[in-house]
Amino acid sequence: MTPPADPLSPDAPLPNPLPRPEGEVEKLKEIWKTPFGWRFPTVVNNNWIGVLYVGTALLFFVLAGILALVMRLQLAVPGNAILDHETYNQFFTTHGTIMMFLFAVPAMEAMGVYLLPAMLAARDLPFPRLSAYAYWAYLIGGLFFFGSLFFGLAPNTGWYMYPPLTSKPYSPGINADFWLLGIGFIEISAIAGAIEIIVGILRNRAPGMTLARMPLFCWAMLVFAAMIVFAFPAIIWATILLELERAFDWPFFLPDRGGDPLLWQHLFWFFGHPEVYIIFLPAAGMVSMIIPTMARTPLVGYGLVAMALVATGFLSFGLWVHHMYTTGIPQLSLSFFSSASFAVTVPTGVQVFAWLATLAVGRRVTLNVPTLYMLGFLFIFVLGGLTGVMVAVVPFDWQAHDTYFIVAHLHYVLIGGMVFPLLGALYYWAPTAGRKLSDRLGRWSFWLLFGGINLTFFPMHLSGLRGMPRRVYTYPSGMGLEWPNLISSIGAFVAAVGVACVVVDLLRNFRMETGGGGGGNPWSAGTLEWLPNDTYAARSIPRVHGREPLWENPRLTEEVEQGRHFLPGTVTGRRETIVTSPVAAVPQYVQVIPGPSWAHVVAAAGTAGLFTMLTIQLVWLALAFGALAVLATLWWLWTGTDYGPLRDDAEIGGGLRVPVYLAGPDSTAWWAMIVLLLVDGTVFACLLFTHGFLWLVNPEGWPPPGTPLPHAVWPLFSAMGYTGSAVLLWLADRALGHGRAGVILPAVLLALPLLLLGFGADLWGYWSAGLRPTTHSFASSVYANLFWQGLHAAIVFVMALYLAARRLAGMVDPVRRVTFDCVRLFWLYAATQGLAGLVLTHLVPHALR
Amino acid sequence: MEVRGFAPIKAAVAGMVVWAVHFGIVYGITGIACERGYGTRILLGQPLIPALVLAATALALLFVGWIVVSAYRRLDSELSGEDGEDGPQFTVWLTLAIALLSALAILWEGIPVLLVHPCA
Ligand code: HEM
Ligand SMILES: [Cu+2]
Repeated sequence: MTPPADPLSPDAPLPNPLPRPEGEVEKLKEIWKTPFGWRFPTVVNNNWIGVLYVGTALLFFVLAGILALVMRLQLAVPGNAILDHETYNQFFTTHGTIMMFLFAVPAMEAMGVYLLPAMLAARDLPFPRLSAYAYWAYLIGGLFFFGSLFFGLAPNTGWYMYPPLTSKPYSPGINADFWLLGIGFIEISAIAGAIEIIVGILRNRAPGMTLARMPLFCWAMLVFAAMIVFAFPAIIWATILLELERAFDWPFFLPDRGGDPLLWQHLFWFFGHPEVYIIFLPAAGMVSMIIPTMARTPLVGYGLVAMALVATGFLSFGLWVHHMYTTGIPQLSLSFFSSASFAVTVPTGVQVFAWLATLAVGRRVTLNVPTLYMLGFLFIFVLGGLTGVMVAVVPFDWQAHDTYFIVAHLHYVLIGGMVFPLLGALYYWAPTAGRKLSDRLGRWSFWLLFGGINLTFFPMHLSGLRGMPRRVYTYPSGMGLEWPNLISSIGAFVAAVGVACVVVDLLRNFRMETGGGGGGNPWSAGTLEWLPNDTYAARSIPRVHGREPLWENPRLTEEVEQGRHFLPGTVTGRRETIVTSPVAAVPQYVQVIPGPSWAHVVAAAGTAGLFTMLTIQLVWLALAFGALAVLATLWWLWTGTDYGPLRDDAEIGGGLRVPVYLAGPDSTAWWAMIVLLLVDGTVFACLLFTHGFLWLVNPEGWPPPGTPLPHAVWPLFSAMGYTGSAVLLWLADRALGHGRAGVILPAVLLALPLLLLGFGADLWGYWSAGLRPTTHSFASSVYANLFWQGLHAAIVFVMALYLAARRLAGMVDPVRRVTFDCVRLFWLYAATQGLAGLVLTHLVPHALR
Repeated sequence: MEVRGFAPIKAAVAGMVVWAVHFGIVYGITGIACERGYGTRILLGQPLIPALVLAATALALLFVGWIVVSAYRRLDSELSGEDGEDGPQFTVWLTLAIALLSALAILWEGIPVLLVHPCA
């Protein structure tokens, strides 16, 4: 087979000739049909999941907004009695938590799920059931969390949940557990979505869409998802520790037994500060898409903006301690964070200048609704940024810390930086689903919101400087606080009317017209999401030569519609999507992807049930739900992954023949597993940090003198178990590479007990020596490591049995080996982590003694 | 043009990875030394913390310099590609831009050690 002349080059003829075979489109329609009626929840099409996802995020925005209105009503005049002290605490905690965790992050993820496939011109992202799972888990878990408010059980300690306030002695009820388990669970959903987004952006771009031609929204979402991968593990780990402390009295944060509440603050803000940028980056990506369209010119400084996005992603991790200025951290350490705070303003400034320059060089900008929101964004965000610089100055922060000045700053940044771009984006992209939203309602909403927000939050700077602390349910008269507060409250209601306009507009005018080809390209935009689309996305997958393909080739829409680009039909008779290389976007294979199913819906419900039942302490029911979730996940994997080579290879156009199945490091499954292991590794890094930090604050010894420690044979046994199981898997991999599938079953059945033995020996060693997790933070850290390792052993246990069953069913062989590879990667990781844990809990303390 | 490779993406973020490691190290050094009361120790005639922080900073800058130089070489050798800003040049350019910003950030982290009393 001689390779044809590069079919991706602009000079090559269009990949597929006319006329197209009879029935090609009908077949696509049939395969990608949306399930209707009672089967609708099984839907996996990204456009439907995306729209449901955005809608749910907006629902939470409105719910949290209503809480804010009640709070503002309470604060309108001094000494008001609508909310008592306790209820006010629950309100602001729930408001902040919902806005941050159930609205802001999910809304951005939702926009990604909805827009990315269209923007990349992929039929769908590689794991459609994963994003559907993320959505259902989020919906169920989120509603349950909100419901806690009606029973007076909502968390009441502020959205960052500082211990010791959240420790058992001060928060004996289950309010804090609602936060810990409810939010911890939402994070899992966010991570699931992030994996889909990362792999999708890197591997599902249209042929020829090199990194350099990728729309900036995709860059932003890539950084966004990568940040979730590295930031969310910190909060997951922190919640695990706090929950272990609350449930079993393991003293991680209790100073009388060697714990330290600062540990929570470190872990929380290592997540919490990047969180602000996690919210902001996708919004910036949206702005970078909308402004060029409205100015009818490519964005000025595309490369600089891409660089700024990547740099922001990194630098924002260097800022966590700037929320802890007042907690007695060494001066020099604080200066590192101040430096990072200033460094991060460089990329932000770069983006602001790129947007302004684009508006300046663009042709006459029409002041339509999306543009208005963009201008509002720039105005409010820059103002918020200025107060941010003030807050970043250390001495000023000591003054403003915990006053309404901070409340004002935080809302300017969040509303300016995220809500305005999001609303602009809704108006901008609504036509890709069906038709335009109302221009009139849009304008009303903008001006009401813009006025209302400034009216609400500008006076708060003043009340803050006059000394009004945050998180108080009322204030005395005669301190000059009456006027600012009354104006704030009026402003909040003005803004609420603005939000109501958006909601009414969406209800009246938003339509999903799948099959109708979308609402055309009303803004004459240049990127691929404006191609006519259907349930199967674009009719054929365009060959891309630049950043604004629709501007560069005015006939592209027509060519794509005629089916003259890649993969105009189906080659396997199933749902499929083209997988391309990560940098150059050269087609590598056609991946078969799963269709509608109940499996992932049940899995999501089971996971949600597990966490909610744990919260209300019905342990047996929780375990039942957990088992349901595991079974449903296995059913989902069994029916929806690793289809094997349904045929040898297929031509997708332009003489390009690619396989329809691929195992090994180029497969999307491998990539997803690697991303998952990055998440996992980051959790483990947090575990290392936990040990290191607690060692540091326990100068009397780590372990403290007199701690019972196991005999050395136990860790040695354990190390042998881990090593043995890893070696066996490595051998099985080699044998499979040589075509000997018969080794899989014996290898797995031997390696599994070895791994379990490795874990068991370590656990037994500590337990039999008499070490108990409740005695001291050293012991609880040791058991935290065992807890985490035990979880991995349990997962490997399930995976190994699943792999064995697949093998017995004849679904694993030297070619069809994606399942084997994924299990192997996770298993090797678990064994390595086990060994690292042994070093951490046995060798390191020994060496330090 | 390399078809499969992920390497250009790794190279592109390399500068920021150096920044992150540097940040972790200097923060760790300061935190540990101050907590354990080594703030006034002297090492080889130099105050301990500033010496270590400056050494780490110099080392990090060397790494970034190396990233810049090797990217610059690739820029030369691939200049023949006709893709211009659109092609492999872009990732090389990105590598350079990110590395330069990282160098700035590293420098910014290192300098305060000359101005601030470490453990106050
Ligand atoms: C018109 C819209 C909004 C109004 C009127 C509003 C009002 C309030 C009020 C009254 C508080 C309590 C202040 C205190 O007592 O200390 C608060 C706190 C907070 N709000 Fe909002 N808010 C709005 C929108 C948002 C949005 C869009 C977000 C995030 C995306 C957000 C995030 C937060 C956070 C994180 C807190 C802090 C909660 C805590 O102290 O634990 N808010 N807001
Ligand atoms: Cu911050």
